[in-house]
Amino acid sequence: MMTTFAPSALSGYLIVSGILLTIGLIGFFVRRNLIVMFLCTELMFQSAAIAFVAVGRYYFDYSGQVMVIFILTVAAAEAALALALVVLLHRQNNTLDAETIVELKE
Amino acid sequence: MQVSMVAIGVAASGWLIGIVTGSLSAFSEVSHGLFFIIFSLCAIAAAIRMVVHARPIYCALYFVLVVISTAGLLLMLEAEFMAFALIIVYAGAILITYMFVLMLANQAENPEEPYSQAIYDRIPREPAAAVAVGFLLLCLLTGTVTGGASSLPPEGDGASQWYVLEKLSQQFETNVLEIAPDFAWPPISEGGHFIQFSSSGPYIVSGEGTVLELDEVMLPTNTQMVGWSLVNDFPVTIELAGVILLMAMFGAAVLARRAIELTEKEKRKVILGHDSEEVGDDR
Amino acid sequence: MTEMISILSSLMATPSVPTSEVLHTVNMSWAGFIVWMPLVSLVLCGICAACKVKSKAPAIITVICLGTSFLLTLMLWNGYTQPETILLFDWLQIHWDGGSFVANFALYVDSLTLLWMLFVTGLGTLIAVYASEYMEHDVGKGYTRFFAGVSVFLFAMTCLVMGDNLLMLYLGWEGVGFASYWLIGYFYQKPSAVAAAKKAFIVNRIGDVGLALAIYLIWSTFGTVQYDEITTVLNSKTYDASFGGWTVHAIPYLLMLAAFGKSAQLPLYVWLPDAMEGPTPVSALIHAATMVTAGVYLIIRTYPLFMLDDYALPTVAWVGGLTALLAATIGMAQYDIKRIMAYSTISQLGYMFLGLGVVTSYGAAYHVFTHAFFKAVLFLTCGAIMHGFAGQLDLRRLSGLRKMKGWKIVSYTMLVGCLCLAGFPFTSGYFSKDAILAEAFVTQGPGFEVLGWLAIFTAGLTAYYTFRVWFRVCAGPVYFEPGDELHGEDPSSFHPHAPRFAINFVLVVIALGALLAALPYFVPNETENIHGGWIAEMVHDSPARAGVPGVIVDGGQAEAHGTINYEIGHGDILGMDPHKAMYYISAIVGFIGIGFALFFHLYCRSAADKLRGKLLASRATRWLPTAMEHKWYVDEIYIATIRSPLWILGKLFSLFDRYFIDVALVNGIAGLPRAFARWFSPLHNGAIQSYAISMLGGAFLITLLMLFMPEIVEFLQSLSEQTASTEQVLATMGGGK
Repeated sequence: MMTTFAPSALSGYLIVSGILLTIGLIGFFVRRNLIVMFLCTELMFQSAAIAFVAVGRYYFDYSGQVMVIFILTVAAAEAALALALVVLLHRQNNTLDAETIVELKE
Repeated sequence: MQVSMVAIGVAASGWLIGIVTGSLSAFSEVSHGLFFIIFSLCAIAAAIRMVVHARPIYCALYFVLVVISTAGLLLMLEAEFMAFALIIVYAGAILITYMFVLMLANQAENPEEPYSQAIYDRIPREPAAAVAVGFLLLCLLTGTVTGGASSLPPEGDGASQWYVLEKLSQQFETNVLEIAPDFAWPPISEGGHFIQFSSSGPYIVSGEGTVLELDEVMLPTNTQMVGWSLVNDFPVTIELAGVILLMAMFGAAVLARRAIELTEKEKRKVILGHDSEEVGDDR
Repeated sequence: MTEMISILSSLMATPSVPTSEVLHTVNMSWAGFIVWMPLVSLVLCGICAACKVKSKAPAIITVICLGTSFLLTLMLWNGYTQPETILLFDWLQIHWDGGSFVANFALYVDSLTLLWMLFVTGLGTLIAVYASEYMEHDVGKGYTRFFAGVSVFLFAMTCLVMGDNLLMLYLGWEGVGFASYWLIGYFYQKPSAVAAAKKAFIVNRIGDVGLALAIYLIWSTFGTVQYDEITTVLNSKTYDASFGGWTVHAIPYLLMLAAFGKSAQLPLYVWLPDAMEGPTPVSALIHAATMVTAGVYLIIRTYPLFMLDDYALPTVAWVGGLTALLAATIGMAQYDIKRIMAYSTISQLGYMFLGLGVVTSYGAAYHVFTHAFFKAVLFLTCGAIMHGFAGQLDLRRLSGLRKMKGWKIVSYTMLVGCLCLAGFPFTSGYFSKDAILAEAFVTQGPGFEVLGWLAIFTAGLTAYYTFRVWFRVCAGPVYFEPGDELHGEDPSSFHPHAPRFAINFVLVVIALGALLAALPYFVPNETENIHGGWIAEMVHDSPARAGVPGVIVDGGQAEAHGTINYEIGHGDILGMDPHKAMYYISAIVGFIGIGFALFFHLYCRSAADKLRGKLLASRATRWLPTAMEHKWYVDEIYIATIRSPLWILGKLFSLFDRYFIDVALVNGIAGLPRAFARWFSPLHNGAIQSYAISMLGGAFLITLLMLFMPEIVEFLQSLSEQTASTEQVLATMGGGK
């Protein structure tokens, strides 16, 4: 199934990736629950994955998919550590609200 | 809630339609586009619902839907290994971890109403500024993508895939002999490659001069391609990825192990809800 | 009598030799101690103050030091042969390519200096002795401060008189102003004393501006500020129109302004009556004998400069005459005897300036000399009265002092002073005032005859008010009331305490001096063609010799009036020769004045009150006594015309400063960083998400920049090309012209 990839199709994939990225970004800014914030960062990882694979498919270069593997790896590692920190923060402040962590204020 | 149900319903019906149309005809541009639209709409809708929903568990669940839709998109891109790896790792591992933590840390606003949401989940933070910034970013991205589509370098041809097939000589031989059992192996290599390209597609020339046109089904699978690329081109990176995972494991274990040690007084305060000095004072 | 006169004349005779200076740095530098001794006294008084000495030690120190100065002055006078400059140390020596400014700390000793220094140091010592008893109430509190002030004053006065250049004079000028301020404000807890001190200093300042400007103009016109060099330049007539015409004419007026400020003439006399807030020794020393004569000294020293402008000396004469008249009218209507004496000082200073203006520096110097003695005695007796009657100075409440036990010396020395002041025949004041009055008729000048008659009228007024004081206070029935400074005594059982030895001794000595000051008139001159006695000799040896009466040499007119180098005129009074006639005219006028005083204030005291009542009742004459009693409202005029506008201006400026400069400029400029920071500080709210938004915004901008970099570069290049092209166009346009 070696269909060639039209540039418009590539644009479509990239636009979808961009939209997902933007939604993830907006979610990161808007939500106050720490865990949901991290979920939004994972959403941004998804969009990156789509973009990599799409462009890799366009040029028949499999480095894109390799990159997605590494994205997966890093996302897993990061999720583990982030959640550990969130657990600690929750133990300390008894809340998951990101607005309470303002100790670096001027 | 209703919107997400609608989106799921649309996706499911689209899938059915796709199966039906796919079974009717060979894979065509129309169904390609159709599936693309279905999967992307599903992803976007699920993402929006995830970002907006007030209860974090539901956010995680909608994220699972996003992951599945993304996997569908990856399938459209002929990256089946990636799609399923994504589902396994993300939806199966990372999201489960998130849900565990959510269940651990979820706080109700009111102890008497355990199903109400905390205030920080109900009320967002500066949505207007966020949406404005996101809008700007999206404009930029979309503009770049559509504007630069004409200036992209030309798309690649699939020659590299065939060259990888060459490297997998055992499989190559098996596949060729399945199709044409009387092919004289090995074929002639010109310019270092066995497989030559013509206007009608790839072909190999045997030593006796037999020209065999190769079919697409002989291509290595996506898994093989990814594996080949991974090991051939990025060996060190694999090792480093392993190291990263190891560090994450250690880090998580160390971090989560540290517990805040409360003194007797603090423990009593937490239990009773007020300061207390006496030993026997517990209500 | 003649032997005494001859002995005195041999003591006082000084040969006159041509002026040439010899620099004696080795064997005359002991003369520097005349200047250093008051400084030593100041330092020792400072040490006493630091050690909180509670005895009369500061007085003893001051008297010893000032006495040493006086003795050294006597020694200097004894060995005086010719004018000399004694260099004490190099002070200011600034040389540059175009010129130089040299002002050394040197003493210029000529006979004028010696004349001044004799009575300055002499009276200084005596008044310090007087003050040691007068100020005994303040022992332990301000005693040391008082004597430190007196020491500063005398140091500055010696600098002023003995300096060889105008800068040392200026140093002394400012120093005496400061000492006067310090001592007038001695009772610093009294607001009126503080206000009087400030007034004195500020009004003097107005004069000081004139002096500073004059010194600068002198330096820029003559190239030097040393007296001898100025005289050389003037005599060699190297100045001409190229010297800068207007500066040469402005110098006398500026010097005049300075002298008017320091010597309390119109319009700058208002500080002297208020200066009576200081202790009486201060009034006697500073405001009668020494500081106020600094103005006269200045003019005498720079007399040749006053000859440069035709109207300088007449201005001096008219100001002096009018001041004399004004002050006499005010003095007639005051009740505070110290204030009457203050106005009398102003009036007599007016006489001295009148004398300078009618070109008799001899007469002015003689009047300075005699006035120092008799005014000092008058002030010191007023002080003794104040000291003994707990601060009572109102002549309506004191009477018949000469009949009281222990007050005889005070009364009779006061009588001596009054006689001299009134110009009673054959007293010192008689001769000195005559010299001035006569010359007013001799010299030809604008309106000098009118001025002369005004001066004679003022002499009558002077006699009247002086004896008004004496007849009221010292004669008549015995009556007294204590004043305000009772120091805790009970008013009903008050006994005046009579002055003791120190005060009486000093009063007697100074009164004798006042009487003996008439003698110099009779000393025959050794210099040919001068007449006027010892004082004239002393003045003749100085730059002011133009004012010494003598005979005009060239031309051989032995009887013409004038001086050695300067023909003055041939005026007459009522057809008679002024010098001879003035003896009788002034005596008659004096007797008339004394007669009026005798009637109104001794024989028929109620007549004075009735006269005053009649004048006040009638509308046509009411203004006379009220204006005179209110000092012709001069102070009020000054407040309305000068002080109030300045005060309003000051208020406006302070409002401007507070509401415009502070608010707009200072706070505005200070507020800019603050506002700027406030604008940006919400960025630092510690919330992760807002940081993320900011980062995204930044990333967005950078991405834009990177994406559109070529277009931006093109745009900037096109801009620079545009500016380059416009520059080219402008250059071609400019070149084309």
